[in-house]
Amino acid sequence: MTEANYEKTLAEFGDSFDLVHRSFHQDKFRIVYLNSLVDSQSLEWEILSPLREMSFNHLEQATDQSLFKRINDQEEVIKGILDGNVAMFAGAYTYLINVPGFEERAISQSERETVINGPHDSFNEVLQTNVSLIRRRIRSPRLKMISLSVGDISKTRVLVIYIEGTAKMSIVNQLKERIQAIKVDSITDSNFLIQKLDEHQNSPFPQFYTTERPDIAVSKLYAGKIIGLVDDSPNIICTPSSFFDFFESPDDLYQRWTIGVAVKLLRYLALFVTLILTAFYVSICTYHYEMIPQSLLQSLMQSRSRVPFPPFIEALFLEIVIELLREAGARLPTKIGQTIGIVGGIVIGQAAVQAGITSNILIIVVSVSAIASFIVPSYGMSASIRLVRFLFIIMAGFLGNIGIFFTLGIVIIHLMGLTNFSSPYIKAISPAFFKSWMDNIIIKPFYRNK
Amino acid sequence: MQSKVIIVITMCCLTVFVAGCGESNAIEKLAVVEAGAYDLSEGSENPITTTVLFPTVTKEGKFDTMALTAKGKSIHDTFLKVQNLTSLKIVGGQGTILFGEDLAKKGLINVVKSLRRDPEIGIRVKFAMVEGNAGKLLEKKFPSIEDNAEFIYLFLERAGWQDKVLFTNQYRFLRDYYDDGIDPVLPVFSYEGDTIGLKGVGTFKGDRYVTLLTFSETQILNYLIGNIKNGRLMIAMNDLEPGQNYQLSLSNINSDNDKIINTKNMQAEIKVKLKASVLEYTGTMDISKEKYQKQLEGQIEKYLTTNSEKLIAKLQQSQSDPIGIGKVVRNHLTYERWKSMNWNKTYSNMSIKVQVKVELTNSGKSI
Amino acid sequence: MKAGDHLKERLHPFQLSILLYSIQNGLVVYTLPRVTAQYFGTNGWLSIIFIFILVNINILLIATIYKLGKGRSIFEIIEATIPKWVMIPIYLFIICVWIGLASMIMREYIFIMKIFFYPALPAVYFVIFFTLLGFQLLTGGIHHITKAFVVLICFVMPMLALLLYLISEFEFDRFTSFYFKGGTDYFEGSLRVYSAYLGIEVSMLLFPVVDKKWTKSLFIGNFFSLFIYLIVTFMCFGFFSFDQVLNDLYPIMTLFEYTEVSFLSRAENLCFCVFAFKILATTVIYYWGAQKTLENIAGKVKPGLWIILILATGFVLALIPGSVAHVEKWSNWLSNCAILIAWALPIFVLGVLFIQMLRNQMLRETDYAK
Repeated sequence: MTEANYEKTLAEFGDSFDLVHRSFHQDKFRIVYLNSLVDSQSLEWEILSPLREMSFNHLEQATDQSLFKRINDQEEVIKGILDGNVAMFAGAYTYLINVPGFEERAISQSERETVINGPHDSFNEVLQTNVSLIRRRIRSPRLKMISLSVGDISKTRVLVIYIEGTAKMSIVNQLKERIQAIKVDSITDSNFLIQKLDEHQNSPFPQFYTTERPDIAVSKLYAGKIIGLVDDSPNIICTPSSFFDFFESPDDLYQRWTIGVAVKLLRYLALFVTLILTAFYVSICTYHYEMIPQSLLQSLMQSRSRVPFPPFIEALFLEIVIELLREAGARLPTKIGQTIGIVGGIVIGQAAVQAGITSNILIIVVSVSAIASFIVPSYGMSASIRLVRFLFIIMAGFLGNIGIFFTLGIVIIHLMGLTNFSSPYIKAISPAFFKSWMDNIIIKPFYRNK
Repeated sequence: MQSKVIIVITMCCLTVFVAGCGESNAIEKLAVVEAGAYDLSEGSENPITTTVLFPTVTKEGKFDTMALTAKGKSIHDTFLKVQNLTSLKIVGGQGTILFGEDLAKKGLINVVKSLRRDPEIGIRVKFAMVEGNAGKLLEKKFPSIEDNAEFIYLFLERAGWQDKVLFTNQYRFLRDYYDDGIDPVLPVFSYEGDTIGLKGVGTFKGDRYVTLLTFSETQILNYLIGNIKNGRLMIAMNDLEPGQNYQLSLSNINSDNDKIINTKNMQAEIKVKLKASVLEYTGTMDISKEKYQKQLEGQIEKYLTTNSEKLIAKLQQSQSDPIGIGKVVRNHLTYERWKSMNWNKTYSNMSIKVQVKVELTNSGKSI
Repeated sequence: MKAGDHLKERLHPFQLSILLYSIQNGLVVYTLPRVTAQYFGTNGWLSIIFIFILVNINILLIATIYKLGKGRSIFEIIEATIPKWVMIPIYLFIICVWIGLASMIMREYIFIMKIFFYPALPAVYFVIFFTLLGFQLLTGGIHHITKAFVVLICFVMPMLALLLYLISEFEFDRFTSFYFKGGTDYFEGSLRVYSAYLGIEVSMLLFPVVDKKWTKSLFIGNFFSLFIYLIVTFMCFGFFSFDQVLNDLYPIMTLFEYTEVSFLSRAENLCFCVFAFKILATTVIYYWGAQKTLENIAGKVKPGLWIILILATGFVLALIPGSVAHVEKWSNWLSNCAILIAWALPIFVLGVLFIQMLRNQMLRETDYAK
């Protein structure tokens, strides 16, 4: 530990553009701060004007406030200044005065997770604001937070939040240890953090549920889960999370429960449609013509008759086109994105059929499975499902129906092996009975909730 | 674990690319047989003629059908020969199989068994017979019919809904053939004139075609076999009594069938209860009155009883038992007695009575 | 999760019953109606119930071992009295039979698959994928296997609903009023039917990982199998005529072939493909049993090595047979051996247990005498 002093601090920062250092009363008080991180109004009010008016005569009394923190360590002082504190050197003592203030994005509606009913606010990039959004919803002293920092250079603050008595302390401690053990230079977003925390880092499936909606975060907290906030990131992470969490939308709970259940079942149907529909088309057209009913056979033959490629190539081609369209649309401004949709969906689709490159039934199949993939509320999960789908298509082209089932086996066995903080990823099915199935996969009627 | 999964997945992909796609049945390269016809041909060298009809798509994307014929020693011999006539790969379909009259008279079981052995041909494939040459029916162009095979398929589908006995497929044929207490039947088509028409039903003794039942006999047979839901019946009353000459059409028939067997002296009685509504009546009685309705019921009962007994006598004569009396008899006997009995002989000498009870539930919308 | 965490966790009885159902040799069900008709004659489906009672006695033996052995694994029980080297030939025999049977079941499935749906594809592709899935499961350990099959079996079960489509053709008259007439060899038939319940004997090795009240899941799982076999075979006897069943190699396949949904015809393809999961369960559990036995013989070797060794053996074995008849001959022979193991091993272990108990009692008596 090195004793903090004014010169060393100035030397550490060098000639930063936003570094301000001033002295008062013949260098009796000297302050150093970064004006980009400090709220100028409270700085003036709390520090500058008292200093000018010499009201710090009784130093001991004046600094005995929570605003002031006495620090001796040089490193702590540097860290404090970087966190938006003003460092005041008064004789032998060094104080950090917390007057942070910087530009932030206003709380706005979440673009990624929209709901029809329910609250519309979402997290932004500032930890303080995010904490206030949570704190505002849980008015209980049992809400506990552990502050950690990650990244050798970035020193990003990470908060672990849980409700004491509801959350399992073993998991809280485990999470704490694991976050502390992370060795990286910097993290820029919580999605970066969770990939460092994952127990199965090569799995295509996201293992931590992330959300930018405070209402979901709070409902997870009430359910005994632990959430993690990362400074500079609007996404909070949630653990332990299971596969089925990714298929939940807050809208399910804000609607009548019968409708919520129906919508949820629809989502699982969508999951299967996305995974299997195109693969099934490929397998039937390649190997199992006898499964096509007599009435459908003719139209299928007619649509395939002019296509020069085998169904497998044809399907793969179209699926890749859809992925291109989706990726192009995602990165473009909304207005141009619409054009992409029209060009891709209508013009290319129509032209491809007329040119005889694809069959129109396949176009229907591929679009339906693409639409189904967007029904999955979690973007991360939807992306992994779309990736896994290609494995299904390849295997269907190779082995037909049994190939699809082999792949299904591979995926399910893989999923069953996944864990998130020692709790199984597919929790609802593995340890217990239908009762917990009902709770996890389907929504309970509200009158049965306590 | 995770790295292993990656290995698994990459290995899957590798095998695919190394192996390439194996032999496939891409549907545009297939000729899925919509209907196949098997006939007995002249000459002992190539006893079987096979005709297949399959849909093709022309360059413009229009539908067409193609019929090919070949003679050979066996079913699959002819299949190979037919295959040489086209560039497409011919595969068995789920459509219809037609048998020529001569082949059916000689016995179908060898043909059916070799069809059964082929996993491409489904067990739902429809069976029917053709009066005369079955291949001709597929080849002939009819002005009102675009696709002969489709026509027969849909015809049988519809007829099967209306009269259960006309619902015949490979499964039913084999089931009744293998069952020792019932004989199979197949619908018989004829292609004389400008269209394909249903002639009636051919009954079998074992796998050999023995008698043709006319259309009205087929309808009665339908009610003798088992319970019918939502059936129909056309009755022309002129043939029973000279004084009465009218047409009667019954619909929404729900029938209840009960077979009573006396094993001591081998007598059987079939009790049929019909509940029906009148759709058409060209007679003079006012059937909205209960008295006349009762009278009409009596007339129908009498008609059905006499015709049924006539029909049964005809079946007994040809030793064919499509009604399944054998099943009922068998289930009333001991195993030893049933096995030691010459059922065919007993059947043709058995006294089989029919008792019909008719109840008219309504007489349609108007008086 | 670390491997250590798995060991603490005990398997839930419900999971276990589903696992035990899924590991029973389901492939036999595809021939079961014909086998019962052929060996037992008319109404042969009833034989399934009689054999079920026999199997229950077998299970009772296993449950008794668990009770009397107080949860010790059978290896611990045996080796407390008998030196390991005496048992090694028996262990090796068990391992060989189990690996062989697993491979033959897998291969028979693949043969049927090829006959019906993939006449042109080489069998080795299918064997590769079975082996890969097996590897994925075996490396995960028994907990992973159990959890995975609880889910995978959920895909197999709905296929039973297709039977509803067949009810309209079902007729009680076809059952005939004769019982067990026209059968050929009751003993051989019993062995064949018994082989449908095989697989459950591997549960003898589950003792260290199960809950205390697990024995009920043995009976539940087995009853589940009975239910499925019975419903399918019963359906078959009412759907087909007796001689038709006799003349059909795979009557259940034909049964499902008859189903037709409005957007799919011939659902037997789907049924049989989904059935791969059940075959996988039987295969994997036998491999797992072999792995555990091998680990007991030579405990110091890494488990991963045994898994690879077993899978490689199974892979090679599965590629040997050249025809369906060949496979059937071998799988019949091996399943007879497996039945022998299923009965002899529990009886033997019970014998050992009794000797131990007698000895304990004698020790105690001499203690009293002192």
